[in-house]
Amino acid sequence: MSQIHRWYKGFSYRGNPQELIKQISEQVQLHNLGNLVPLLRIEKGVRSRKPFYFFLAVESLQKGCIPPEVQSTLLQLSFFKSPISGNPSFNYEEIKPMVGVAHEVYEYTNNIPYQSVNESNCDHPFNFIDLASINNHNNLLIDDVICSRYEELLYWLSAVGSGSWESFKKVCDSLQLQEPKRILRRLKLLGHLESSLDGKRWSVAPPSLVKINSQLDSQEFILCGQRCVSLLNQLAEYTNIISVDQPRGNAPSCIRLQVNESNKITEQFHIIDAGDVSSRLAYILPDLKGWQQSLRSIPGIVPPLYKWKIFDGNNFVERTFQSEIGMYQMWDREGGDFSRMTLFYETETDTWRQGDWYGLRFLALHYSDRPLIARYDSATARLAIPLSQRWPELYERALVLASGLLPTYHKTEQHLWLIYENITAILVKKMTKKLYVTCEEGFSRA
Amino acid sequence: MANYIYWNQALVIYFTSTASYSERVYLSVDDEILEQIGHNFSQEIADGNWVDDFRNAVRAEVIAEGRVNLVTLQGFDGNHLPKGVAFLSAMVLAANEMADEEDISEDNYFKRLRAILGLPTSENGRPLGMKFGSKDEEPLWREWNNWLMGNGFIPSGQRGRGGPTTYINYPISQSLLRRTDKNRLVQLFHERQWTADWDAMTLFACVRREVQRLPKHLKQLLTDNRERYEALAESIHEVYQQWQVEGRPPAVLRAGVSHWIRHIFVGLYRTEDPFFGDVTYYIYPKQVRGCQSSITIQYDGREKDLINERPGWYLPLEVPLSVSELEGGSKYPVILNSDLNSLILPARDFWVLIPDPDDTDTGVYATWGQPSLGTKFILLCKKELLPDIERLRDERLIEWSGKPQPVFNDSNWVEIQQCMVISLAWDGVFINNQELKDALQPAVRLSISFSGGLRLPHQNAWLKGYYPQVTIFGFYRNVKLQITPLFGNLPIFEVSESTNKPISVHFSTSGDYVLKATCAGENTERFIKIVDWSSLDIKKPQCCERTPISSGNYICGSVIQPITTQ
Repeated sequence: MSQIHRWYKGFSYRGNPQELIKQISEQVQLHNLGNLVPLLRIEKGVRSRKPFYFFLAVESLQKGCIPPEVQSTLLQLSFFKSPISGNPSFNYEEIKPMVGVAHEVYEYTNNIPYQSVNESNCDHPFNFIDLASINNHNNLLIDDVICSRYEELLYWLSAVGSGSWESFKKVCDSLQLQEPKRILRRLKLLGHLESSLDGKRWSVAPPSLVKINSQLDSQEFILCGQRCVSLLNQLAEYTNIISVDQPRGNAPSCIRLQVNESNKITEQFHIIDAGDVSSRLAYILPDLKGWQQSLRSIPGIVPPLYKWKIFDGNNFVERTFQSEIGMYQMWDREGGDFSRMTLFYETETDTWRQGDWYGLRFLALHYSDRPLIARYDSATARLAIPLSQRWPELYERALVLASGLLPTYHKTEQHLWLIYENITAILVKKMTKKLYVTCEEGFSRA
Repeated sequence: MANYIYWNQALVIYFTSTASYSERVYLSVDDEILEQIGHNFSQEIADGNWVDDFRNAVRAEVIAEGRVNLVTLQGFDGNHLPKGVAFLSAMVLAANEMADEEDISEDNYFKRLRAILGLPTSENGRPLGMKFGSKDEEPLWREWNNWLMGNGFIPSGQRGRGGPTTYINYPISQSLLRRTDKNRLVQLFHERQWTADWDAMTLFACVRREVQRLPKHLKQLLTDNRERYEALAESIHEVYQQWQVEGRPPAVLRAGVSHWIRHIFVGLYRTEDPFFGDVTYYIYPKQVRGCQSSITIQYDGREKDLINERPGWYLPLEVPLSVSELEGGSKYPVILNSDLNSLILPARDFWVLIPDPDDTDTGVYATWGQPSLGTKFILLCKKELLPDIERLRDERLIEWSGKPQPVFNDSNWVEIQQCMVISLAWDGVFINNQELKDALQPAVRLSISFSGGLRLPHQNAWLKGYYPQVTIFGFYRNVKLQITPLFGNLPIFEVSESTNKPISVHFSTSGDYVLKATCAGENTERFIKIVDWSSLDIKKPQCCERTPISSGNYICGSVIQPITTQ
């Protein structure tokens, strides 16, 4: 096949170089010569009205041979009256010192530096890969600055309404709040936020009052969902509100309201009366198997296309996929720093299911026949669950919304425990039954 | 008769209600636009001439005892709209009525303005009451520009570079197509027998190819000042559509037509699964200027209402775009609307998709406009354009990352990702697809970009204490950055810095500010709002996520409701 050559024909001209480029450009356009005349290079340091050289790049089968359509149209312009004597054909290397790297007449300008951005990794909000941070179980000293950033986070989410997982990560990063996946989960537990089943999007929940069990004479509620400074100020003018820091200061504070007639507040401030959500959830939520069936199934996964690690009760271990029930990490065959997804595989139905990480782990533990345990202290209305057996997010939400507080951590010789406050005996009974958890009375044995 | 305030409000709405954020707004008033606006007034006039009605309204407001009085037009009305816009429109109308080959001079210009204002045209120069451009009409232009910036748009009216045209440059810079230009375009369309359903930029490229055959003013419009190409292309496209509706006459369009049927042209909206990387394209309808009635189309075997998504755009249609639609375009009839005929996806050779300018973190790309300097975009194109694109990269005009990625199985289309314009020197490079060059060649030499900080989407607003970094992209080494309160003259921040590098800035109080970058006689401005945390309000989510739980209920935060109430 014949090869197309690019070569340069040189001319001299006295006049305005900008005008020359403009008019030649218009002619090339008019006659569709772009495939024959790809560019024009002009002598460096050219000044208007002084003579200068310019070079027309020509692409043709034979070097030095001008295509007839170029000759009959473009080269009829007055700019081409003075070809360089001898009429040679140049290559780029010969004219490069004279014209520089481009057809540039704006010699005082620079190119914008280009930097490619790494593609974002597969950072799924349901994937929890690093347990190190929660292993530091001691209740940390609460940092006021960090606390106020969590308040700001909820204000921002309330003002924006909804967004993508990427936008959630970005706002956490801007506020210098680390581990956005855990933050997302904590906000869901506190009834402030909801995410889509595939984890791609979030939306903030509407403002609502949740009734909690109270020892006071008046009724007590917690404020969940959207909030802003003006709403809190207005509520403070109307009734007695108390702001309680979260145990580790790693979420927006719990806003408690003591009122007798909640309906007046809900009407005046357009706040939803959500009722006793913990009790309602305990009643409504399915048992563990029902929850498993409700999880989103992911079709179209071809196991041989990926590497798999299965949860063995403590860690994820590499294993060839053999249709064994359990919780799996899905890795690209080419490797990478992050697993693509964490899923639960059901052998019976040959189905891959997606859900919150702790929920899938709980399922895996259930199917591994490990004893699932809890301890309840009716005197203090506190429930203890081993951290290693954390409940699925919806079930844990029922516990957190009983007080509006995230759990504290308590270490014993055998376990690191999560302690939930203000939990009634009936709530414990219903929830542990649904999750096939064996609950014993008293913390002394924990 | 509509009064001045009525016209003023209608003009502001006409030019901004369907403009997208970050769009350069031209107050390009002409007779057709006045007739269109008047046609939508819920009142009748005796002789049916809305242009005269507009002139009379302006005269009644600003002329007293043979003098122009602009003092009462300064400031804002009860709807927070600048009061001077109708008068500025009259100034643009005067610029628009200048003849094609007429010299731009104060005398020529003010002769026409006098005629519009009903003042004696036998006198020369500025009318009484408008003796000093800097004190009389310029404050009105500044108020309009500031209002546009404060509302997320880019103003386009600007002072001339000195001399007698210093102040008349404001209206002249706004006037796009004059009557004579429109008639010449019609002749061109007729001569070339164009019939295709082109979108604005494709038509613009075709017209630009004929530039040598066009008269002086039109030629200047088509070759100078790339900043106004987009607005100009839209104006030419309107003439083209009107010409088609009128049966493709050979010479002139009917003057002062108030009502003619147009099409909605659409762009593309691209989403990518953040975890699996699957790319999906959707049809993305663009709003039509001056059309505010509801729109229903026949789509996917049913009637579908178009729903506003953001200024300038409707929500994308739900059904993913097919390769055949991308290749050959598609057309959907508009029903129950007397102003619009069809929704058209044009068959194009390429599409330029930029990240969401209002919220760059969504991961969505769409045809929101030309990429600003320093913005990485996606070029979706036919494979046959790759030699052109390679040539642009060989000449270091653009750069991109990775290999062209195929889209749709076995299709002729590829995506070029993280593409960016890196050079200013495009003029001497020629490619086959001139439209591609027009679309990518930078229109400006300086551009202000914000990154980081904590932003409130769709508002050009950042939260106090979490300010963005400012990068001035451009082709010069150094640049001066100045930050001034929107309604103030004293800068709060001034620095000379390198271009293309982030600059940390600080704002002492919340409020509205203008950032101005200046270098080598070029300058560019951008608006930013700094918002106090206490001023944040609660916003209803655009899309509310819910988690289903058994027993026919779902939960959203702490709110449990039966699924039937969704």
